[in-house]
Amino acid sequence: MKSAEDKKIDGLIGKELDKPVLVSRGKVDVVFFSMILILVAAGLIMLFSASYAFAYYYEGSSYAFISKQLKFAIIGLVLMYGISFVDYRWLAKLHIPWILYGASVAMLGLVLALPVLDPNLPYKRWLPLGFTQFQPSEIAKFSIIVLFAYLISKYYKKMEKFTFGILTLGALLGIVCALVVVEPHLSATVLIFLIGMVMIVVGGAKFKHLLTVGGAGVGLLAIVVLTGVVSYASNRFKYWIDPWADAQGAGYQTIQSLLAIGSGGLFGRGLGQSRQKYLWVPEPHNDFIFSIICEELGFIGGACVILVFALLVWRGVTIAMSAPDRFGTMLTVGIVFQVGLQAMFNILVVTNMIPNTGISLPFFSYGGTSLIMLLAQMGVVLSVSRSSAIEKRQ
Amino acid sequence: MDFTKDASTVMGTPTKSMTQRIMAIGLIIAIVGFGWAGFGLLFQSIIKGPGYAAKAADQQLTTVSLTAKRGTIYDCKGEILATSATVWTVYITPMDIDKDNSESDEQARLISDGLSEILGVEREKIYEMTQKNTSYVRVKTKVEENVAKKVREFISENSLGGIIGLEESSKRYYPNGSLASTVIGFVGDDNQGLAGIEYQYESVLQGIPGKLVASKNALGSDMPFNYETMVEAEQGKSLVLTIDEYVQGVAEKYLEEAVVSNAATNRGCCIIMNVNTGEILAMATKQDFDPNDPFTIKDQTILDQIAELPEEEQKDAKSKKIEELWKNKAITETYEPGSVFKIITGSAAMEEGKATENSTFDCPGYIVISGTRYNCHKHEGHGHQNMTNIFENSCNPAFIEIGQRLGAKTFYKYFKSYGFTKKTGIDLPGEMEAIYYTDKNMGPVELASESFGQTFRVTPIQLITAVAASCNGGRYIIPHVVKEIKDNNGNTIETIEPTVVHQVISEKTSKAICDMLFSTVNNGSGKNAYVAGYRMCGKTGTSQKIDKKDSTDKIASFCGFAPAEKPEYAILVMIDEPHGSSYYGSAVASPVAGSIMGEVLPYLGVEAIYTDDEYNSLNITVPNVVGMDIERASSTLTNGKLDVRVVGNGDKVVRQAPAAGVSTPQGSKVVLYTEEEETSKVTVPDFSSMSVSGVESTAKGAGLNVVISGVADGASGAISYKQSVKAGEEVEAGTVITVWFRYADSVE
Repeated sequence: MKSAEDKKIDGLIGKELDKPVLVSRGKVDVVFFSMILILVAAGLIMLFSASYAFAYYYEGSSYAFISKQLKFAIIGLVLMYGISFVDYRWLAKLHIPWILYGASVAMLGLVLALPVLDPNLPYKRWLPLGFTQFQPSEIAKFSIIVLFAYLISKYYKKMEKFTFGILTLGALLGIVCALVVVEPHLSATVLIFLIGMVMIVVGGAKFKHLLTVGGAGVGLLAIVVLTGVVSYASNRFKYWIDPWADAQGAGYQTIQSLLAIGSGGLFGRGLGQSRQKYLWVPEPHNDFIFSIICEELGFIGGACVILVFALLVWRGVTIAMSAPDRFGTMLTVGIVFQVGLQAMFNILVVTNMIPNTGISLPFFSYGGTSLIMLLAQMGVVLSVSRSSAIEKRQ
Repeated sequence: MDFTKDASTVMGTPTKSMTQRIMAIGLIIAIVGFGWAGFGLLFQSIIKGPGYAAKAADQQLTTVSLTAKRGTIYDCKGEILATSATVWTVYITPMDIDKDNSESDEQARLISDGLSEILGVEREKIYEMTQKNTSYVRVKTKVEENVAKKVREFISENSLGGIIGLEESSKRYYPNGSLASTVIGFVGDDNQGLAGIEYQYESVLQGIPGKLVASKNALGSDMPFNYETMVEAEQGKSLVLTIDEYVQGVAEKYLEEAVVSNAATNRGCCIIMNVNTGEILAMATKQDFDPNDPFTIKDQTILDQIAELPEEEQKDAKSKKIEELWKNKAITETYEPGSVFKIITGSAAMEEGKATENSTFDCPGYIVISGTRYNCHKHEGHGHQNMTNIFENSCNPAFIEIGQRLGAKTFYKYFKSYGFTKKTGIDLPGEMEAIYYTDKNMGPVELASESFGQTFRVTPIQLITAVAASCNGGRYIIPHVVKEIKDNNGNTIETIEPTVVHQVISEKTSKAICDMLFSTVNNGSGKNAYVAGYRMCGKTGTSQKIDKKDSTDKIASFCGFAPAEKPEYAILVMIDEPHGSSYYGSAVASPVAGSIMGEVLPYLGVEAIYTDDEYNSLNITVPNVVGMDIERASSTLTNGKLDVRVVGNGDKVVRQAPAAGVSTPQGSKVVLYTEEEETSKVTVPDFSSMSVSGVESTAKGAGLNVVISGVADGASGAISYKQSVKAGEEVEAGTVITVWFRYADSVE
């Protein structure tokens, strides 16, 4: 049953906006936009600082990583700005949610099949594209957000029903998670699972149902752990508690990260002055870049990064809640919480608050496709902000 | 799937529950999630940070130690006694040797072959080193620059850069070999002082090693982006000793000769000291060692003795002997001073008024103290003697009587005041303390034996320091061997001034002691220490060893000083367990002291004052008359109180013997050759065991000139025991031969 208000809103704007426009003419959210620019700029500076010794030794040029990342950042920013003009509602049209989801599942399957063709591949995470390679799990993450946003906003009234709110969405989420976890890519699995769950919760699923499923989930997890499917993860657990138990092996990365953070102290050694980046921290430009930030800029610098991410989430929530429609709300929530959760998990790993799972820091860690994907999604949020009622309500 | 049944429009606005849940989750992520992350950051960077920072520094920084050049040791005239030069340590990093190719083991073989050839280290030994799994193994230390250069070439030819390495270090050189070795000491493999001055002044000499702190990456190589801190090495400071290379050389020459010729089985030592400053000019122990190679015994006599031992004992005996040779006998061993100690007993009694120069003593040949009978070395007794006589005669009963007059308490007061109850404090390591009775446990019998220097033990340095105090006006001065400390630019940083501790006896008593000891050398038991013109004073000693059953193991010693009227230098000679023709201090030690002081005192600029007899028998330096015609040459020589003998028929002198500049007694015959081919050879006769006049007439008969040494010319009772040119050798007529004499009748 629609409330009177719903009917009124549907009547006023819903129908009018039912047909998406090609170019969004509203004003972009300046605060959110500025924060992204700040994060991209800070990310590039820190990536250069963190990567140059590693690049010098292993790539022959100190600029090996930064020059690539800079290109991707420019492409990503242009793409983001472009996307912000495209009405996000196109994502709900033309069966795009389903196409995206189907394509993701297909690619995840393909990635798993690749080692059969080439047994030398250590991980089943990457899909080679000739000129580059990318992780289908990145696409899968986005496809879940789009599909869930679409389904929840369209069938929000059915969310309270166990069959739809829990079983149907849970199955769609479960398929993707199952494909990702056997890659194995635990951190991506956890992230996708959490984003899916957040969207289900926001969408209106009943807590009673969620608790039931949660209990079942814990049981399932126990079985998985006991049967040793994720045995490598249980090892990670062991060295999380005491990384010094294998200081030269499994605990090495964590130890080097902690030594970097500790060396920074309150104010840090100063920009560019990290010593741990001299091959001590393995791949200092990737997942553990936050430790180099802390060594160079200290607790203060690290805290600023955390604060900016928190502000980004807050601003994202504001945009989501003032979106003109549920689809925009759900889309924004999914994207923004995804970035927030990823940053949070990364920092928890780097500070050894949770076991090492191999998760990158958005905007900072090296990686072309993921940066472009990230900025493209930011473009979607900006697109929502253009259509949002922020200004109208003011 | 068909969802259309309950489908609402996609574009409806969010429900209230949605916004509430978004807010709630947003707050959870922002506060719980990021709060947790923030706490993690705070915990790791601030709370645990300092510990991590230290660990990080440990792994990031490499510290290369820069060796400090060890300071030089100079003698008092600036001659180098010990110096350091740059050498290299060759090491390998076995860890990095390619051992995967285990069948051929090529690299390990290449290294062991190559280094073995260059360094002369056994190939098998190096091969063993290459099989270890460590990062640093020394192959050879103290490799000199020219060899190091070859190693460097070998490294670059075979690209063994990371595997063979060279480290700079320094090597200690002692240009004079064994000279003053027991004083200077030596250094170990790491240039650390292990004995003597090198050990005592380690902190001054060693300097402060510098550091090069460089950051490194995880691969161990230096970072290209510089972080380097250099702390320059502070060069070691140099020492100027009070030791005089020349004086030390003379002392060692005669001491070594005495140790060998008297077949001493427990070495000997000699100290020469400035009595007014406490400066040690010479401190010799024989046998000793070569500090350039301190672990090798070079003395053939000792090697022969060891070779006689059963084979299984040889190794132990050798290492025991080496350690013994390192010891500075003058300070690290105690001995019974014997009659030399009578100087102390006598001076104490005079200072206390228990005896004066005019006191008289009657010696019946023995004395009985508390039922113990002490015999005099002269069994029939010395009869009636004054104070001077008892020194000359070294009369035991008289000194026992003096001791009893003093009493244990007063005797011990002087024993203490003369510094025998504690170390002298000389700046050398290993000084021993004396072993003695205190006034509490000293009965009349112990007092009696201590009065003439038996039943207690002191170090030679304690004794000479006490004797110095007795003759320098009564001041006890701490002896020392380091005069100045200089920085490496040659600027003096510290000068060690004489330390006068206290007055032991009055100047008056001191003067009286000098007079009596002068008489002892001139007329009494010390006459073998006589040096013409230099007024030697002193006292001999022949001591029994408490701890030795064998009564032939004695110690012969002499301690004296010169010149009598204002003493400047004291000498102590101690020969431990002589087994030659005599074991008496007068026969074994006094001539050594006389010979040494005879050469040293003129060098030290002590003014010679000759008696008329001495003046008349003074040696003359032969002038040059080559090239002169016969007549002029003859008159030159005869005016110079020399005789002339002409050989050949020429007009001019073409050669002369002895040559110009040689020192010879007045009236010596100078042979002048007037033709080139002409020579007049004579055979050197055996001058041993003759009186002075006998030697003089024998020499005259053979056409040779002699210098009489050890006694005043014309002295009767002295017997020759040594000559500078062996009997039976062919020499040119007129050659000057030195013959040494000593008194055989004197005992004690």
